[in-house]
Amino acid sequence: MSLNPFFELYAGDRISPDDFVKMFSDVLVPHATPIFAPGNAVVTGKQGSGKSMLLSLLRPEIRLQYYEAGVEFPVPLERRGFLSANVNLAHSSAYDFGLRRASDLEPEDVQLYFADFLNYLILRSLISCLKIYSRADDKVRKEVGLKLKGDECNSIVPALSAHPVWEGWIKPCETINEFDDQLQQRIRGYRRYLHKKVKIIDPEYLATRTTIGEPALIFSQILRDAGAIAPKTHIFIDIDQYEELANILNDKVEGQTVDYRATINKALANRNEFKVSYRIGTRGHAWRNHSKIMGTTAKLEEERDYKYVELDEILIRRENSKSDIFPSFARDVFNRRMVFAKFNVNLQEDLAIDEVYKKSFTPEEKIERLSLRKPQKVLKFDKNFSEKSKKRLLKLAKNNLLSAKLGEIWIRQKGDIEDLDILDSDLPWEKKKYWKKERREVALLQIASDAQQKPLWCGANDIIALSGGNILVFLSLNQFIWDTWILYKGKDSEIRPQLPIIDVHVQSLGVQKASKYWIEKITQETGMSSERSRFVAAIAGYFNKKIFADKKISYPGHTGFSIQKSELFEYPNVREYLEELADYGNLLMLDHTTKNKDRKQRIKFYLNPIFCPHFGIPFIRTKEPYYAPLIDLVGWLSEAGYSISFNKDVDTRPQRLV
Amino acid sequence: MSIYRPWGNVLWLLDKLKIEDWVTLGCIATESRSCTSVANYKDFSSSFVLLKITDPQPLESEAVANAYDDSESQLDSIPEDQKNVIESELMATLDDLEDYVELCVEKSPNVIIDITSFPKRWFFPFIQMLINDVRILNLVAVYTQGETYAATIAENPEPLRPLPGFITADERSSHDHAFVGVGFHDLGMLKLLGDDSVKKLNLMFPFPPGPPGNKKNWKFVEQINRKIGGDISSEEFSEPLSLHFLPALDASEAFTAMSNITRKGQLTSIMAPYGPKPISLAMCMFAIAVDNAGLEDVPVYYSQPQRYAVEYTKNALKSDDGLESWAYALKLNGRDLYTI
Repeated sequence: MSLNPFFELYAGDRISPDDFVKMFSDVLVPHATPIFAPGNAVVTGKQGSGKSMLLSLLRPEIRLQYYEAGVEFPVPLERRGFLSANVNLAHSSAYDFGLRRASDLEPEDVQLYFADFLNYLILRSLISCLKIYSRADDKVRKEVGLKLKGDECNSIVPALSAHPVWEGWIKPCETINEFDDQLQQRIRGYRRYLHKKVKIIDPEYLATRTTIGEPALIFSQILRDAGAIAPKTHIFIDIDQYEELANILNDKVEGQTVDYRATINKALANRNEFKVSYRIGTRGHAWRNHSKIMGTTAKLEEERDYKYVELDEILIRRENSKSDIFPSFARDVFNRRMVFAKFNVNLQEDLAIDEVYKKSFTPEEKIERLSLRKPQKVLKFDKNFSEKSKKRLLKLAKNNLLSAKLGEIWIRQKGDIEDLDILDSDLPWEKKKYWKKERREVALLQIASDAQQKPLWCGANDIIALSGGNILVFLSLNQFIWDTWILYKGKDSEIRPQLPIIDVHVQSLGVQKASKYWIEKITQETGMSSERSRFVAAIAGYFNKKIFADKKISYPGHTGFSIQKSELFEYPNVREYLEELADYGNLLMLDHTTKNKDRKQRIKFYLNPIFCPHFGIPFIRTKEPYYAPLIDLVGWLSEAGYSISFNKDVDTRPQRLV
Repeated sequence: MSIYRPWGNVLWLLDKLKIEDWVTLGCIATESRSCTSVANYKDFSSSFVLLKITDPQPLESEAVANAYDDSESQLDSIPEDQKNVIESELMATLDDLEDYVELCVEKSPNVIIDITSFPKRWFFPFIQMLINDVRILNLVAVYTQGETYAATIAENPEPLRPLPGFITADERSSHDHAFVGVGFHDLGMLKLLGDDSVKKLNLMFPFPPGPPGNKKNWKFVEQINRKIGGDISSEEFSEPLSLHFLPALDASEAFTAMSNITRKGQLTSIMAPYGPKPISLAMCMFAIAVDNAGLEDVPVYYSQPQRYAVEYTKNALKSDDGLESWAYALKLNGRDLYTI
């Protein structure tokens, strides 16, 4: 085992089922019940929001591991009656249809082949699931609602293989393995064609194509008719990496494109009595902006065709922090990692993180930890400061530099008109609690900058807040902090089971490294990642400059910007660029209750908090954001390399966004 | 019995081979070395199929057009009737690629494929088609080194997926070995380590790398290490991760290394061809060799960038002895030299 309890970032990808059981936090499960309930479910969320982890619970291997480990399966008991298929589109070559010349086929024809290919993948996965559960112990099979045990699975094969849904391509057979071999053979045929191992697609495929979703329905029907599964048992089909279908460029015929997403959407639109439903994991706006159904002008509708689980929305930081879910989620994940790394932690409490990092540090404490030799040097006065006030602030700086800095800011704003020869606690800025609260984070950064030091980012609450509601970012922050700590501690870092206390400077260094890592990571993602990276740098530079130039801190909220909704709808390319930035987690996109008299609806945008340490801007959102005119936004977008047109008849978006 | 796989300076090798009617399959790119490379050995070749590949998301259209013109002008001395310049899109289909191969085969059974500026999405399937085409008797790959590289050589990667023609038809997701070429950018390759289960990760480290590649290469290793399990110095983690220091230009040695590690392809493997082109060429040849030996196929994963830097490299690299341009004999007299 690695010394770093956060060595493995993902608890849904590479991790073994055994470790998954130990690391998985079930905090989100009650908030994502549609995943385990009848009906289609669309789960949206950024990478790292926990989508994959949640959907992993549908996999038979994971469920069995819970039983083997003697750990309660986190899905509610009444929701455990399901079989499932999982299709990873990236891994299964589903993305590869564009590798062959489509121009001699109608786009719809390509979509029909794609649908058939997908059907066979789904069926193979269902068969695999059936085989796994049929070998499981009675308790598991009872929960699933599977009445077949071991070779009894073969009993459904004659009816399944002889069914007309296969159009005669599948030959009647007796055993589940023979049936599976035929499914595999068809899939191989497609793969060999897509990768040009054969010149043309097997001509038999054309006449024997299956309609999207049909084979899964027949599978369900045959199981039910045979009494092989309980009436209440559902069939869930999890389609993974659906979102990336939009990022695949294909050979195209002029004016027409092959729409793979519409093919899958058609399966969702097909309501059925056989309790077959789909789970789609995707990014938010990418889903909302594309709900076309193959072969019709109709679109998928929320509630009618699917339930929506918006993980980003569930995990986002609220104005009222008491209703936040993410902190409990993060704290639970931290606890589990500590237990996994053999530290002595009570899983029923979530205080381990506070023990390691300390719950929080006040700005005053952070300044104290900077250990400035001459704190007074940080104060800057101009001709408007009286000698008396200067003297008072310099004296104050020796004991409470933050208060002195806020005093400097207060005088710059209000003028040097008050008698400061009073108790420290009675100083006017100390009495204006909100004024102080709104400015202390910016003041803290200004102090560090003036002292030519790096500001400190530390404490459990800061680390959780910097994660921006994203569990992957949280894990990564911890990984960097522990890496740094292990480097300093050497052999001492191996001591167990007492939890260590990690020094604030080590924490801060780890946070800085994580921040840089996440900024560099932007360009490694799909979509218009280089434009997104440049946009993030452009606005971060803008806000950094604004904050440090604003010596009066009149606009402490100018760490984000707000745009009128109507302007965004007028220019769809601008809106969709911003939506992509939000979908990839580069920006937080939130509704904004305007303070303007015009009451026009607005949307506000903030940088992902994890970027803030590197750019030296506060991540805490206070006061009003910058009310950006459209021209400013267009300027930032252009600087980032986005192609923008103010001519509404000219669409400058890349094809995949249309 | 080991096979001698000739490689070396392009002019030296082509001179030694004494073949007169080469057809060159080359790439006209915005970086000047693409055409400098072809111009260097043009006297050995009697016809040229030159592909001008356009990115789907070019950033500076005017700069791109000018760079193409400047680059192509180096080939002005080749008579027009020997040149076939074709424009094609970066995401062209395998059928398009096959058409271009066919144009070469029509000209000659002896092909020089200049991989200097071809994207991997192109040269991998090209070489696969050329190796497997019995009409091709002699095949040589040419690679010309660059002087200095752009700070960002490529942008906007597609999702990680197999290169055209290099899949596992049975959707195998568990492999004995993964071979990853150590390069400047990891793009999306780290996803590979999430989706597939790999028993041993082999990093093919170009050595000696020299500056500035040195620092970037180690950063690449650090990122992979971070993804797969942090503690590179820990005894336990030294087992799944191996660094193989290989000469950056020696495709033959890299091929032999992969062949030995996988016990001549008996152990399953997966590839991610980042890093120097000759190492990628070796990966390409290894995947083809395993496939042709009827063993379990070797999928090659790559996240294809959708935009390349206009000045990917500044110029072709020159030394006192001339252009640093290397040729690798892949097939001679109908005999495939890279087999297992």
